[in-house]
Amino acid sequence: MSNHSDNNKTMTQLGLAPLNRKAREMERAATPEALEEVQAMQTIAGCTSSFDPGWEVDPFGGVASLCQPMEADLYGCADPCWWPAQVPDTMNTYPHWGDGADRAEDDWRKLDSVYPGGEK
Amino acid sequence: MRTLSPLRGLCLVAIASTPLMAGADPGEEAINRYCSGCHQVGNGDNGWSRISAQRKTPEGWDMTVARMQLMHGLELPGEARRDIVKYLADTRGLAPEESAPQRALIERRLNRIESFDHPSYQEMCARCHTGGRAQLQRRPLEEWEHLMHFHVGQFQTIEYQAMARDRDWFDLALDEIAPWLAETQGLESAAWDAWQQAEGGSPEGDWQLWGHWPGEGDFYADVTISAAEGEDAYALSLAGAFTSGRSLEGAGQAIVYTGYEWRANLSLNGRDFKQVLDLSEARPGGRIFDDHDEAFGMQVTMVPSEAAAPGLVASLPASLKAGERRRLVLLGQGLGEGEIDLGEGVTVREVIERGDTRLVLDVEVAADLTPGWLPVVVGDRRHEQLLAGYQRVDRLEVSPALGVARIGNDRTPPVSGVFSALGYLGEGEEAIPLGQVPVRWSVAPWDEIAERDEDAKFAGVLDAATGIFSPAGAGPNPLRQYNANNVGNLRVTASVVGQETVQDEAQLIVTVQRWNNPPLR
Repeated sequence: MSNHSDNNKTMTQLGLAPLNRKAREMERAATPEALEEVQAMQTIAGCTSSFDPGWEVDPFGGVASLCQPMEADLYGCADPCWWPAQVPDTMNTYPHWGDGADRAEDDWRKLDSVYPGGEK
Repeated sequence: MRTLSPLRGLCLVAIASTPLMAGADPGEEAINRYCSGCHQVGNGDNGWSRISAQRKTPEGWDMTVARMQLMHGLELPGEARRDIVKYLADTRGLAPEESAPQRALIERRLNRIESFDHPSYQEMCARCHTGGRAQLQRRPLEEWEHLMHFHVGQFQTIEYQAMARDRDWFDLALDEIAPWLAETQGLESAAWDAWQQAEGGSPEGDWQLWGHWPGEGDFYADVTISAAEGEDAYALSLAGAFTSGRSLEGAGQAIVYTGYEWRANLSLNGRDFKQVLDLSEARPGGRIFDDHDEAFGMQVTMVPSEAAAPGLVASLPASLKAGERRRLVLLGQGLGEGEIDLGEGVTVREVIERGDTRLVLDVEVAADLTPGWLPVVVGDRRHEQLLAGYQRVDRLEVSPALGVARIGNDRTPPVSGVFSALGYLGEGEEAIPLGQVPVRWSVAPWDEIAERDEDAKFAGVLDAATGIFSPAGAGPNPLRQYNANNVGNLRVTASVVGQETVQDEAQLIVTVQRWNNPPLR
């Protein structure tokens, strides 16, 4: 698949220059194969291993390439249901999770855990 | 092979009843009242549509009922939810052999890497949640297929995410994963059939429990379990001490599900904990942990005070260092009489407490102690490999090798990093485990990026004496570049006190909170 092979090219090979820190970190992966390898890597129980770009851990096994601060793009994760096991998805399951916390960077203290009580 | 315990089949009265025997069980009544509007009542053993074609842990059923509340608008009182979970876990639960491979998940031990016997299960399923979460379920093929359909319908971008957009995720889920799960985790099993037929007993009575409390040390306690109001409900009280001599007191309430799944709420020295035990074992084991900070927990073992065979079962601590004088606790049965001998080089200065199940001793260890196992003799009881003596620690092992802590606040409490350091005498397979040995802890940036970002300064504080890392607060930090959160990639190092060159290290990721925290992650 041509798209797949494009995915394996570095940004430089695609004629793109890394503009921000995250892009530079991605460019650090020595080879495309190495990047695929880290992306297929398992992670710790309770963390997601969907590294695009990762919720707890980034594709390099660190935290420097995560979206930071995560509040800046939190609803960009919640609205498209990106890490539904970690971040309540407002697309379908918890449509009102962010109500009253319109700007997560300021209102993050208002956001609650979602698993309903009542367990043993 | 597991030994048959007298506790087997504790709840078989409930299991023997059919779902349609009206009024037989409050859980059954609650299902008929709250669930049967959607889940059709079938004939005979079939019970209710969908529900009766699945088997799960108590936590699994609780998450199912919670999902009905969240996604389908089910409204039911907390008591009905508890009754339903109890009834379903008893009648449609997992046999001990079936839950055994995933005790760590049930006990909420998360700082570990999972592995699976399927080449793509990790990428297909366990990239969002643990693989264990599905492996604690039993369903026929049709029900596994329903689960795949549910995922695509409920989490509609599932096919666009990494490790899904590069493949035909949905067809692979239906054609490869569902059949594999149906084959390896089908609804019917010999283990479950046998468990339903097993004779059971009651946990009521006196037990002895021991473990290691992070930051406090080894502890032991007499546990008294008595029947409480409610089906398979119990009250328990604990009275014991740490090996330092500090007392340990506690009490709690428990429910036993499926005849062996002990779940308790405990208060120990004023702190609230959950307790999970597998009562199917002759020596039930499990974990006591903080429900809001699951990393903070302790593996515990419990033995009946009236054991079938007298003997020595544990030494707290597991090793003695040459030249020290300290308290040593020996646990077992039949320890009340007879001479006490701890081998050459160990002198009992005082017998602080002596009973049939426990000896608390003040011992002095000779400076020229010969390293190795110290044979422990108490009257007719003898154990050759219960207690070790050492001059120097040869190797140190920090666990977990990779830990994840989380920043937090009052809505999403922080998750600690809790490390321990086990010492060994000698190398290779012949090495003698010394248990937790005295170490000093330190933290440093994991790599040059973490150093540049000053992760060690912002992410939290590691207690040099205990190995417990307390994460910093949640939220954007204006003192960091880009207002980054207090995340970090850290190197945690332990070095043996007095032997600073004997070290081991671990990686600690300090990361952001999660808001979706069901009992099975």
